[in-house]
Amino acid sequence: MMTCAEATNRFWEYLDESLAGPHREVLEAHLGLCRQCCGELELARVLRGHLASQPIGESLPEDVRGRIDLFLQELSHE
Amino acid sequence: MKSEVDFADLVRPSLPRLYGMARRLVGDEAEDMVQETLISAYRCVGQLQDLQAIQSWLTAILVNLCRDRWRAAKRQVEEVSIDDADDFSLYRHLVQEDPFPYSDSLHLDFMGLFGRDDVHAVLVAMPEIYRGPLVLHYIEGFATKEIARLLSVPLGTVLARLHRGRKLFERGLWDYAEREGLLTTEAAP
Ligand SMILES: [Zn+2]
Repeated sequence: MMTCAEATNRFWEYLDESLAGPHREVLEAHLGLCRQCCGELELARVLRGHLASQPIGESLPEDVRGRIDLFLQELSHE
Repeated sequence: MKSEVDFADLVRPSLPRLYGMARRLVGDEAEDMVQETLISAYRCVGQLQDLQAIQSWLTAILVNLCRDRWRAAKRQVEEVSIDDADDFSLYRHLVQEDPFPYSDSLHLDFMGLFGRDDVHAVLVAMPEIYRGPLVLHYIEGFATKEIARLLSVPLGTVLARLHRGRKLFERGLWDYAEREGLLTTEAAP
């Protein structure tokens, strides 16, 4: 039987779908019996989703855009 | 095709993404890093076969430059004490401290306290060698094998740093929420 600590250490890999078959089966068996680990897994899922949503709608601040445009002009006149 | 005007036009659409990524990887030095990336790219843009691949090409150059920077700073980073990070559980803290007693979606409520700038602040406060793989994998979407190749480290090293990076991120979120008073202001019924 897997311990909660062992299970918790594998959650992110589980969510990445990079956990090998036998490990995944043992983990899922543990999740079926352990409410605390289900909560931990849910938190990992939320954190992971929050990280993945970081780059959406990225923009370049106007001052930075201006300096980089100038830099690109200088680069081409080297 | 190495007309200078073309080069600027070619890279311009990629700049917001590149700058955002640089901010997450190196914080305040993002603009310098983007400029260094553009210098390297300009020098060898003639070798680029597929212009559609410009974004991933620029990204790879940026990561390479970051890797060199992190190598130079490695000694300093290793002195940071993170011994207790492995034992930290954000979930346990949330359950024990119960900042949202009326909530049935504790995790979503907790993360709802964090805007993009807050998550950014937590990330940039992390040591670079742990932040790098975390940002590259979970935010920028690189596979772990690809990160190992880009950073020239074994896959096992990337996985170990990701593990510790996740723990440091969890701990960083909790510490930030306490320090910035996010819990006390939002948790009132
Ligand atoms: Zn458990």
